[in-house]
Amino acid sequence: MNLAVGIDLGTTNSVAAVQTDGKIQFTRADDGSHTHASVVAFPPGGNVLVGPMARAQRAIDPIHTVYSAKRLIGQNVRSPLVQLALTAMPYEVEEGANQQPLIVMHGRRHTVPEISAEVLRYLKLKTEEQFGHSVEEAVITVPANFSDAQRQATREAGRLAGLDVLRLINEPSAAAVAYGYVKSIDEIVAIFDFGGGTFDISILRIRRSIFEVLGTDGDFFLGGDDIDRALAEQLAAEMNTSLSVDPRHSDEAMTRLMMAAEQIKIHLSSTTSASGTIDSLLVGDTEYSLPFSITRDHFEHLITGHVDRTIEVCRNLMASVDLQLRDISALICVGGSTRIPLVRRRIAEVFGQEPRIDINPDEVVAYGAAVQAQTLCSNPEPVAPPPQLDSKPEAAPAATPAALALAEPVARPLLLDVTPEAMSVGTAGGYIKTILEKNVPIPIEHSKIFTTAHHDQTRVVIECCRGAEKRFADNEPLGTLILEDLPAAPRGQVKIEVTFRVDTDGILHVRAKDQKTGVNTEAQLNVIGAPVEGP
Amino acid sequence: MAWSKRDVLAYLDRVEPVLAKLDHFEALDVPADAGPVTIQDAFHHMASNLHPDLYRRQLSAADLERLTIVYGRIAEAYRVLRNPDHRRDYLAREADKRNRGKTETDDVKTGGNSAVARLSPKAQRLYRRAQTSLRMKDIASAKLNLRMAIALEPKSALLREALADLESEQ
Repeated sequence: MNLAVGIDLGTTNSVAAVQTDGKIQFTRADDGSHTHASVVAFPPGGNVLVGPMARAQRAIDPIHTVYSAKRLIGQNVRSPLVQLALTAMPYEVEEGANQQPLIVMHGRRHTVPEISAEVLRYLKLKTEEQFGHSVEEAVITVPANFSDAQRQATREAGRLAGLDVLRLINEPSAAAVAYGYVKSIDEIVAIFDFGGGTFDISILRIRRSIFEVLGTDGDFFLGGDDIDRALAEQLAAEMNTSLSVDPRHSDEAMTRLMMAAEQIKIHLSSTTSASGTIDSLLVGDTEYSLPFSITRDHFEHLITGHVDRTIEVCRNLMASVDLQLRDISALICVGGSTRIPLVRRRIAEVFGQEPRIDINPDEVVAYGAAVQAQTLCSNPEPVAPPPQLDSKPEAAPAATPAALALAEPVARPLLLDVTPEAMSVGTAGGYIKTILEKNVPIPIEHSKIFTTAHHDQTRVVIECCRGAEKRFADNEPLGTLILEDLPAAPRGQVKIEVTFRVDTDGILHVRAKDQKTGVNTEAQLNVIGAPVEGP
Repeated sequence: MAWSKRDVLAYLDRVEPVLAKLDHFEALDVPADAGPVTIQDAFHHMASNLHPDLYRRQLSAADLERLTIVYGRIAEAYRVLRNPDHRRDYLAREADKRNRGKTETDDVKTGGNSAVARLSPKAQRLYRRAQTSLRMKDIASAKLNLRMAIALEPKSALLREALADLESEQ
């Protein structure tokens, strides 16, 4: 028997789950936890470490340890945001073919999908070991605002890891599947997904077995990493003042401060102050120890800008889906950063209700992915019973609808997802025309007639981009579609029907048909930053 | 529960030949005055019977592709009809198309309106829009469309006379 795995491939941590023996179960790390560090280390000697072993390596050998690879996957290495992210990464990154980033380890160049494939291969292996069956098929989750290139690169990573990727689903949608699956409800829910590297907000209508995404928005470069960095910067400044040593030029020391900041952040989620000493801070040839003491108030002051940004995105989305805050009947937290008290307080304020945390925010995405994998895999098990809820007393009433849902045959959840961003084409004068706006249901087919602008024009070039900014240059280029060998005719006489299709993974495909001859051209978009197909 | 494989294939055989001719209301199988609730219900109903995910194991790759195209068409109808702005634009375009059909037949009867045909395609479109607005007694839009057409084709007597007619009427 083969298992179909659901994988939450996170920026800092990944989680895998399968349905087996009639229930959803998580892949355990060696220490028994359900989260696996998304870190790949290349220690000298040629072997590759993944997970907790690699994480430990990060402190010792940061320049040969790849973390937060998700921030680079499917990205154009020249984009300003990536350049900014790179300044915080101690490992070496080069520009490769098609402007994709290449990670250099001991002189060998690795594509980002190759790095992510290491994490996926590790999870596949761990799952196979634990459950005693081979794992062939997978549903992998991606941030709702992932671009075409990022989705294609994530698919490529799955393929390299030997997985048949059944589907890429959006993380908040996966969370909703896990949640709605337990509740069997008819309501509108907001999923607030604040993880290690990205932030997403999604509004869904859950009705019987249908999960319709009404809208989604997010900030791709906003996550727990940024919060850690804000705190690490503060610690670095304090070190500069108290010890007269500036650690900001030492990769080793900054990595150490980042890791300490993460621990302090976690600590401050349950206590109101934290103090201690960070040792082994290597600057130059000297090791320093930095005593620190920080209150939760001070920490909140440091990160309030990042939290405000998430609230701003929420407000924009509510306005764009034309819903009032009172229409939201449940607010669901996903991702480790939602454990921060300031985050919970602010969203409770904005949405006028306490967020739901009855499903573990770190595991809910992989849980939903595993449920979705059952819907799509080649040999599904019968529908599994609902998950064990966290043993929080206030979560107890939720058991009633779940029990009801079990009494009758439960239909498999059907997820109606949406396009993460508008798809547009370039027009004369450097402007754009939007073909499919953001948040439209997928899969979708939209046709549009293009004509020639000049007499005897035999070639039409259609430039596609992602985004809805007025000027083409302000959007993310997706690629160029070239229609050639058109019949020579007066301008406007040649009519070409171009069909834009967004598939179930959220990836854009374009095909063109000459209306007169009926000749089809399957046009391939050359996506910038996407992995280059091997021979 | 979703349909059987046979039901889906029969549906595809039935709908594929007419797919290109369906308007958005027909694609969603709702009346032309359907409100937002009816439209969402109709889409949910169709999705729960026709979403390609439901048939991954039953249908061949080729049939799944056929289903995806039909489902994509339904999703497009939903995209347009659920959004008040898109729906209004769509209805205006449809009305425009019908009127244009009528004008073209009129032209044939009268031997063709060559003054219209001489205009650039953009100006022609604006001129027809002005005519549509006129029929709908929306004088202001008619004038606006004519003025925009004149901006493109300042020498056209046809356009200037049409605008002068309108302005003298008031």
